[in-house]
Amino acid sequence: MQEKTEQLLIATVGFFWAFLMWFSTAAFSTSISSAFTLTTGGLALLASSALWLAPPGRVAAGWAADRFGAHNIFAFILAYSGLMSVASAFAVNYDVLFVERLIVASAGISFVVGIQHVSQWFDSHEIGTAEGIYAGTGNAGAGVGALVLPRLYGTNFDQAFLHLGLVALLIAAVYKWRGKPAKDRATAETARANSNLKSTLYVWTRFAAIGLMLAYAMSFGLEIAMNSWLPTYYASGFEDAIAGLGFTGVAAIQTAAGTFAAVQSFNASLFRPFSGYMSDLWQRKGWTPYPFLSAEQGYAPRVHWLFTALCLIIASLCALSAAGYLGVLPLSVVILAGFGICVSFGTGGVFAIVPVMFEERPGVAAGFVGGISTAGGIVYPLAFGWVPNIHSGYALVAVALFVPFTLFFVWAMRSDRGLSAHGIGSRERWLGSGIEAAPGGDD
Amino acid sequence: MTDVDADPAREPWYRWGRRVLYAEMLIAVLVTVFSLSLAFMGQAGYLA
Repeated sequence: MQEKTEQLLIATVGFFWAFLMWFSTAAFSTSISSAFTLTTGGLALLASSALWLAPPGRVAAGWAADRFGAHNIFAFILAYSGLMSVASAFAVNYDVLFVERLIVASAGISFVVGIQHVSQWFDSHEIGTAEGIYAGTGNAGAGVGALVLPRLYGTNFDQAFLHLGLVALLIAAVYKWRGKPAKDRATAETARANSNLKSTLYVWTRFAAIGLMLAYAMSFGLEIAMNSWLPTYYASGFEDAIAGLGFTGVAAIQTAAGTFAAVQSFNASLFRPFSGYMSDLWQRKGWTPYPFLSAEQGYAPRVHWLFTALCLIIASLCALSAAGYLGVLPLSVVILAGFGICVSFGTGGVFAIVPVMFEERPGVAAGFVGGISTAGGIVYPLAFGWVPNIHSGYALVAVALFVPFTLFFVWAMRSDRGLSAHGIGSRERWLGSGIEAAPGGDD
Repeated sequence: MTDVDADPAREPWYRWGRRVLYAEMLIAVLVTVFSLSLAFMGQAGYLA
């Protein structure tokens, strides 16, 4: 096995398990609610808490990966979240369990660490596929957890948390033992040297980085929002249609609604590597079909592929609203499958660009793009639930939020001036004039 | 500038990666077909 293949495998397994732990609380929410007699509000608080630490945590984790090496940081995250998962198996009251599960859920910040790790090993022409396999397989941990954990453990969530934590500790040990920060010392040293405040502010002030962050909010932010929202949507919006299929009673309706919702989760996760592959393909072929986007940058074809994905996300969201108004359940599920694929095009497309655009500071950039955008997972469900008609929420978010996001993305990516000059403050303003540009990148 | 000349398909890991990619898409399609069969026909006894 090639050394970089081994590193990709370690990162992928680590992220899969981290994602499994991130959403394992949600998989047992009904059992936890029953064991500790939670109110509906308490249950909603527990569900949303899984996302609280992601935005700031990912920013910090991305910086730390550049600074201390991804293998150290990933092993650390798996170790503390694993230990906390074991401790949560023995929680004696709900307050203790809530805090412990909040810390376990922070395992999701490991995403940007793995992105940094993979980017340090793979070359620019293959980065889309490599990052896609890493992130897509890892993301599938959420869907696998939702389908497998309740069937494997029933209502014994304490046993599940114990076993998940012990395996996390084992993976942490392997990650620390076999993981290496980069393909060579120079690459690791470059990332380490750029992990400072000025470098971070430089990334945060690039319009292209902000555009990518908004694109990721439109894709991954929406994906995790839909993970939590869709079961409620199908149970409420298609109650009669589901009852007409023979699903009666709360448990059966919830199970059916959850199965329909899983279509989005699985497609959005498992088509993500294909999106990375497509980004690599567009790059190899040099496809730049949109005249209003720059074709001058070295990564321009990848940007054009991502713009295609963003348009498809907006269109499929509107189609989802239309299917809801028509009240045709099978049509809604078909569109949901297409929607999940469009979302995967967005998530895979973004992180086929980030490591190429910010070759010298991949962790800091991944932390910004992958961290702030996660707030979408908290905001969108509020918008979906705010509108009077449950079906109109998707079109509302598409028109009121995603169209402006996409227009900003186009504006940011249409400039031929390059990353350094197109932002708040020049490269010299943030980094000084003595730093050489990285070969092959605009950074 | 694009890296048109680069051919990652020649590397062993890329062949392996593409197999994983296809396998994952197949799983996603199977889950979709399963859900669609529920949406069209309903199988409450099997699921619940």
